[in-house]
Amino acid sequence: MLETYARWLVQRPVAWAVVVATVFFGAVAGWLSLGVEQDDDVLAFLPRSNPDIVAFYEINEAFGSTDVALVGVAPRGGSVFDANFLGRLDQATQDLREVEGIDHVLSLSNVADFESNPSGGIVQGNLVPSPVEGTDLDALRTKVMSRAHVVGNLVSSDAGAVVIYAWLGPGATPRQVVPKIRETLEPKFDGDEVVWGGGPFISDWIFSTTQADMAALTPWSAVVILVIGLLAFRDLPATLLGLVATGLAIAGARALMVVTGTPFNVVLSSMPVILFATGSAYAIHMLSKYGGHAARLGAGPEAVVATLVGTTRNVVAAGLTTVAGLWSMLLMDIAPMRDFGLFTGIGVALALLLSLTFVPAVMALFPRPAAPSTHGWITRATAALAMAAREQRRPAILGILAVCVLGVGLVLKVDARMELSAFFGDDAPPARSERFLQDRFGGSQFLQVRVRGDLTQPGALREVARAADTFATLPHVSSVQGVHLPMELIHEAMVGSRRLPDQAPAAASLFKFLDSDPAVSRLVKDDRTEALLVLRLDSAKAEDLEASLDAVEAWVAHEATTSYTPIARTQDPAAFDAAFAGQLAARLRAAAERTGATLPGDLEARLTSFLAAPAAPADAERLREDLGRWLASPENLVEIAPDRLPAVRDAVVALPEDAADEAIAAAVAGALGELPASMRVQDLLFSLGSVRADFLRDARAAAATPGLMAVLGLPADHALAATVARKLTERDAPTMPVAGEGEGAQTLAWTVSGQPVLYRGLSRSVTANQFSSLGSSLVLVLIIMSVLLRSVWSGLLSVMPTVATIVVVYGAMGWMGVHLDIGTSMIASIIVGAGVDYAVHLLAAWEASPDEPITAAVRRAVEDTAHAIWTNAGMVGAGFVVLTLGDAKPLINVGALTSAAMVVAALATFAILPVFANKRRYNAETILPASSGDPR
Amino acid sequence: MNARLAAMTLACLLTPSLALAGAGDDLLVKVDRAMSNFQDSTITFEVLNLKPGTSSPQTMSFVTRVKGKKSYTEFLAPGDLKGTRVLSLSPTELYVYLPEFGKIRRVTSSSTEQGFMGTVLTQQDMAPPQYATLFSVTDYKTSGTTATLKLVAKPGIEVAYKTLTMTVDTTKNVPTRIDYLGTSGQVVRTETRQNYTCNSSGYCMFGVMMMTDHARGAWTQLRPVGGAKLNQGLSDDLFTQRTLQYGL
Repeated sequence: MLETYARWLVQRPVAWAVVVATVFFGAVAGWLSLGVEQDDDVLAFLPRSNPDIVAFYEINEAFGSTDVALVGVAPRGGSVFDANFLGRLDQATQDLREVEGIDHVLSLSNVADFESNPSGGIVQGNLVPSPVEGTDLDALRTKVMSRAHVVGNLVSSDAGAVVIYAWLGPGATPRQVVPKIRETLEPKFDGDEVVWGGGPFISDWIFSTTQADMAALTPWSAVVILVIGLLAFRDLPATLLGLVATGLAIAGARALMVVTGTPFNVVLSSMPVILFATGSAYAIHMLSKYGGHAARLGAGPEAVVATLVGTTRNVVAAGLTTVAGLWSMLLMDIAPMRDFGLFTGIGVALALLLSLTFVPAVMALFPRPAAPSTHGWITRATAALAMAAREQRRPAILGILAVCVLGVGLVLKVDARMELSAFFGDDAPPARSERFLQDRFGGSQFLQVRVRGDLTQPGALREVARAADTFATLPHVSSVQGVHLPMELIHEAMVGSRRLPDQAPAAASLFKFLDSDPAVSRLVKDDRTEALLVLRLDSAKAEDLEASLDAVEAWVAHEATTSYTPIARTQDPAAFDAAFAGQLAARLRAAAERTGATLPGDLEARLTSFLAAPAAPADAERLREDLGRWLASPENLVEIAPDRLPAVRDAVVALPEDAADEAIAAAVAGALGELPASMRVQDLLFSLGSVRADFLRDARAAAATPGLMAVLGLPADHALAATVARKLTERDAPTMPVAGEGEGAQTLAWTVSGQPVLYRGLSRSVTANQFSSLGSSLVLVLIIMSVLLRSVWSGLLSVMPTVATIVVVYGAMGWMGVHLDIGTSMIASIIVGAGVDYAVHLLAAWEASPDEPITAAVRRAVEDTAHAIWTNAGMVGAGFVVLTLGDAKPLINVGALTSAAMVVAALATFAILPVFANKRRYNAETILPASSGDPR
Repeated sequence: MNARLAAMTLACLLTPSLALAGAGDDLLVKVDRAMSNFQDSTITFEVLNLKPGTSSPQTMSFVTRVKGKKSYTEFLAPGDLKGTRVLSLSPTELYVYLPEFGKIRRVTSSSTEQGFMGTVLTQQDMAPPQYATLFSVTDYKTSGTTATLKLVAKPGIEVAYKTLTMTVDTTKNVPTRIDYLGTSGQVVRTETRQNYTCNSSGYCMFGVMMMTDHARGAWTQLRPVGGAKLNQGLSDDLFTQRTLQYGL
């Protein structure tokens, strides 16, 4: 049947038809392949079924928090408090806001702020005025550096650098927006140190670098493959023929991607090199065999027929095993990896098809001169190795076992680890940016904790604050942003006291004032059912990220409140105080972390004891100060003559804290010299009601602060005192969230997410994928080889060199500390696919006549295949080693390891099969000439 | 001689432009008058607001009373804003009353671009129009009943957007479209006003106003409900902190 096909194919009209059809196919495929779309979405690598990934997508959709570009700028003058620099920063921020695809920009120049207005109320505006000319820069510096939520986030603590945050809008991709950001900002900061960090820049860099490397290196890879082919065959047209056939296969695979709407991505960008390297093997074997047959039968159709008849089965088997290895990736749960396996497999199948149609058709039409085997030094050396292995079987087996045992030991050290640094070297721009942001702004890695619940409930807000304060003390957490912070600030702006609101309607009302701030929409959903805590991490190392992640997850699993009941102090004083002590302790620990204060080990116990004791009376001086300021302000409805004002103030201060309205009216009336029922007194009474209550609360907290500082063993004027005073105002809240279920209980659900979780999910996925794809590809190859060789044992024999190669290569990874990641996890499938080819060809040529020793089969098989196998290993190895010359670290790893793997696979084939092969023939049909028993 | 000739040529070339710009300034005055030709007004607005990244707009409702440069606004919906009252004495001085806290807060603002309650409108957008006071016309074109004006903020005037392109329906002297240009010249916001109804004194009220923030993909739509009640003799006492605290 094969001969019938071969004789039909070599007829000139048929051969011409095949060539013309192939050229037409190539032209159409080439044209179509130009339309392949690029996809740089790093999220595409995440398996959608993983619950961590599902949560990440939900959070990303709800808060858009991951697509934030961070541009760090260190001005050439050394300080950001320079009028020229602040002017440029302001202009840059304004210009960036107008870039299409950017949802929101935040920098020192547009961060909102408020401060007390000496004439009453607050002054609201930007922290840094625009324009800044005429501003006292020293005073501005003092004001800016006093804002704890700004320092370390927008300006470095040494005032030597700023960072601009640009959140990408819905649907905007890094590839679209990143060039515009650079184009907008580069002219503004010419001469300054500028770094480009955050997800969009890293994603863009990885994609651009990989693309650039592939564009630059693929031609060189082709040249190297061509040179090796020329050295092997010494026949330029034949070598070019093999490469053209492979090129057509690549075009065909890309065209199919266009037709099916599959985008090109970072993983698929390595497909051309891989296809050039693996797909060219079939044409090489055809050409290699043709040389021998042409020497025997003369160049022309008969030699082509003999080549097809003698080689097709082996080439098909080799192709099928490669396709099986690649298609085993279809079992992976990472879509780009599946696409890579599918389309590279299709490319290999096309290369195989062309090597059995187009290549022999061209050879039939344009006969090449004979190229008899010369048994060069490589073949002789290989034969010596194989013969030595066969003749010294016991030491060889021991040696192979020793290598495998050592390899397995090292393989166990390989860990799957996804981290950003895996994508670039230490000197790459993203690494420099990471160092800049880490040194000056506490890092650029973020962990997120989503809280689901009714966020308008004060209890929920208090628990969010407690969680944030706790997270701030965990390893490698440099800062925590949460909705409780803007809520405390807006409460201070609108009410006058920096604390969380007491009632749900008050919280809901204040949320409306935060609606205009896009930064807040990153922390809480519009319907207030979900909030996000954003933890900035000071390290990008996987082990550090994992340590933080483990600590956060442990807290969420064991200590986070998932159900609480708002309890009034009158209902259960102990539970109320214990709940508040927990919040206070968390806040104090977070503040101590920032200020370097040392807190007592029995903090909770001391706090509980302190809170159980009767509270100190309100600080009269503080009350006098606050009331005096308010009475003189336009917020007070009643205009009071300056000479009457101190009397009114003192009359109110002198009242008992629980004074009734009548008593207040009487006191005010007396001070004003008016009747209690007068409109002015009633207006003042009405206006004073909630104001006095708030001032009393602040004054009580102020009075309690020195006592608590003493309990903590800290001086009253310690930096922690302000934090203590602010937090103590919440002691008078009507209710506290007490953990527990029951009637009226509110629930909170916590989910930890963010890039470290993704990396972990991806690492787990890569590990699982590695086992499933490697296992399935080996089983598939075993089945194919068992069928081909009509023996399960022979099938097992054929995969032994491949298994040994995998052990050696992965062992080397373990030895050199190379992690298993998306790139390196592809190597096993490539090894299985390409490595088994060598065994197929060696076993196909393995034959000894009944009167010959097995060593005759060894020598015959090696001499028959060594040239082609080493040529292929050299081409694949050289093709991949070119990738190590680029900047993209994943390509460097894949290039180096695959290159080494091919050499190891060839060596393993020649060293292992002669040791374990005991049959005289593995081919179904004899390859020995009937008249000769001599080894060739 | 050459310099004098050049100056004369320049003068001849500039004169029509200056004349046109003058006509544009006149038209801008008419626009302001057409939109604020009343002693006082009371209008209830229904608002649809689409925030970035969302697909369904939120609703809001408020009634606003205007007299001169002062306004008094009370929110009617949604529930978490109901009862919130805002007294504006100027675009940069507000008094806010939050019913949940029972007190008023004076907020003076140095920023003109702060969003208004989560909408894409700035406080300046909510204030009575003063285009002629804030802007100069630098380019003016007419075509049939439509005039197109390029407005540039006058020196020393603080506005969120310094360059505007306004399309005016010259039959009513009302703006039908305003493009707000960013610092690099591209349109960053677009305001459209449609379905004007005008009274006999020349005051015109839009039927629907839509402000789109192109960069953020957000928009806010204002629709007056029940028409504008004009010249009802609103007392000056209405625009005081006392009314703000007690309510109407």
